Amino acid sequence: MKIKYMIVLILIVFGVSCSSVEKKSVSKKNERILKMEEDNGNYFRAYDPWEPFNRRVYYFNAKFDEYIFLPVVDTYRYVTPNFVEEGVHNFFSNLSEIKTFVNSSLQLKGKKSLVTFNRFTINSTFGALGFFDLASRVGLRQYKEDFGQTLAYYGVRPGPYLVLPLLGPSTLRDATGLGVDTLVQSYADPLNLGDASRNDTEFLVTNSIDNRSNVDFRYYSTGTPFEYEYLRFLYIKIREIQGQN
Amino acid sequence: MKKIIFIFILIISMTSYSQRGYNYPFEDPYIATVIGSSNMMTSGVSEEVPRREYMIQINPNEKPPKHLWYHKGFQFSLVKQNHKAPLIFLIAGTGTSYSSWKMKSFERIFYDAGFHVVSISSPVNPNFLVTASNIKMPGVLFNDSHDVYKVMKYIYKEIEDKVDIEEFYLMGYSLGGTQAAYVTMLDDEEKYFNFKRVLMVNPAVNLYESAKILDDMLDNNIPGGRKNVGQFLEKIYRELGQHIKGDNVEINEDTIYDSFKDNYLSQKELAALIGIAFRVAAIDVNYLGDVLNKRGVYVPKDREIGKFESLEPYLDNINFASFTEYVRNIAYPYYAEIYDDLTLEELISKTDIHEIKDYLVKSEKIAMVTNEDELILTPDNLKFLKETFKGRSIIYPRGGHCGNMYYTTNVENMVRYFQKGVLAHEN
Repeated sequence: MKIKYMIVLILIVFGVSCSSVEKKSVSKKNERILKMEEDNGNYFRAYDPWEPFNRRVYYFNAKFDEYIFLPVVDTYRYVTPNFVEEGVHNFFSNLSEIKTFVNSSLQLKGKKSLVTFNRFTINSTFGALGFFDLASRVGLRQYKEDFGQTLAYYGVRPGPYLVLPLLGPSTLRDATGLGVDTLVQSYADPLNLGDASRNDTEFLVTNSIDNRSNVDFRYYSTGTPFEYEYLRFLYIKIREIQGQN
Repeated sequence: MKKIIFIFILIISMTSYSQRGYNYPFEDPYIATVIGSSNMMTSGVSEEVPRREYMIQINPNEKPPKHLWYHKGFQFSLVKQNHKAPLIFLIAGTGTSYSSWKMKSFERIFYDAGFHVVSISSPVNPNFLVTASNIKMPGVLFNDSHDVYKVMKYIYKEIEDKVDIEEFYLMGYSLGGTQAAYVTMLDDEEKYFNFKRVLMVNPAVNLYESAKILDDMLDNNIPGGRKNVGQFLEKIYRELGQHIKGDNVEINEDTIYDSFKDNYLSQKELAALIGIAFRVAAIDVNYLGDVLNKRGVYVPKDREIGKFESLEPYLDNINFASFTEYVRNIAYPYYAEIYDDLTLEELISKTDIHEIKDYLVKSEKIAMVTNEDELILTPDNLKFLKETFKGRSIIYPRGGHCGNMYYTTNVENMVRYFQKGVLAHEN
């Protein structure tokens, strides 16, 4: 839920007016001091050589949201009972533990790997393939790690900012990471979902709907002329902070 | 008999109120402002209310500039009862949208209290400025309130056959509170809505003075001023990260509050954070006032910005410009061209509620609530409010700027005022 984290940062940075439900976790160990790229008064500046392309994709995403994505999401929410929605969300969330486990391990973060492994085991068995998040109820916290963070951990810089079609804000590094994570996830398949997780369109579509349904952000909804700049700034900042955990 | 019982209950509730005192938890006005205005501090308010958003055309002959294409119409929301009920208009605070958390929270409260609720963005909000403002150079209270009043009539035309309305009420907080007074005055002449009761919550008295206070919060509390906003924020992230105990802790209002309580975040730093929050709104006003009126300050006069063009050069030019700079560099030169010999002082006096003091003193239907430690008021401002509203006001001992709007006692008093016309007065 990148966007959710962004909303929290807005709360902290810009916001005296945000909801209390959004939360962001940060470890105490972020000693590494962030280095400002430059200091010319415009704090919102970012490395964005592909801006003309990015702005068009941003626009495309907004239109796709408006005409296709959000109507579908609304219908999905309307026709699906809440407990099913939650179950579906838990199911995909459980699958994403594979990604977190692999990347925590790659970053030699023992505790995170262990907790994630336990969560996945508990939820996949007693939690009926992940439809129920029992692990959270017994106090096992969910972590999030991805290959973009792993690359960052080994010193790879974010590279140019990149707005991905349908998926939104990213960077060259994070987009690469996303590709790797997707591959790993579809081939690891410890739940024996078979080809479903690789080729099945329904699987992909449901996953996307579930994702979108859990992100409150709406393109151009803030009304500020500088939404593109602010969102870019927040995305990059949040990834920096996540990289320190 | 009913009346006697009512008065009896009222007296009891008032005495118990005074014994109980005012238990609002945050002593510090800065922490109150940051935390209190973003948390529902009262229980039992509905989470979901039947809310619908609308988009209407106010100035159909105007087209927004290409790069602001997404402001296709004026947006507002209606929360509707399914039976005949009073309707309350809400005006948002400085720059805030009709769909902000604050407005939605008021919607929930008033829906539960039996009102239809219409939420209106602040006239300083980009959507309002682009699609509904007449002069598009906000700050002059009469102009802006005229716009709000006009918009209300359009809204009414849009919704009149959808809702069964008993009578009209009006409330605004912060800058919206100030504007509510002007809107009421306009309506007293025209009698279009004939508001039954109006409440100003934490209003500003002189916009320029309040803006200056908010500007200074950033400029005076960040070492080195605005050019160091970046370093300042980095430092805050680090401090919060380092001082929060445990391996993984969530950063939310509680942790901010704790880090403040434990002196990890100083009052100065909190003030700076509030200053930054308002500065983001100031940046929008600077930009829009300039570009919508082709003033040529940040954007060259003849420059037509394309739909996908980068705005970074203009953000660079604006360079964290404040409200005060907006008044001096954008609004004042503009108004000086329209009205010959207009001085800056004269312009500032048009942002001051003193100009309608005579009306406020005798207008029985308007009440006002604010706080002793209100951040956006000078001591003179507060004195003016006390003298003007006297018995039609509550001055709470604590709450900062809008930090106690959603606190139980405040919510109860506010709702009781609208329902019964009684403003419990106890300090």
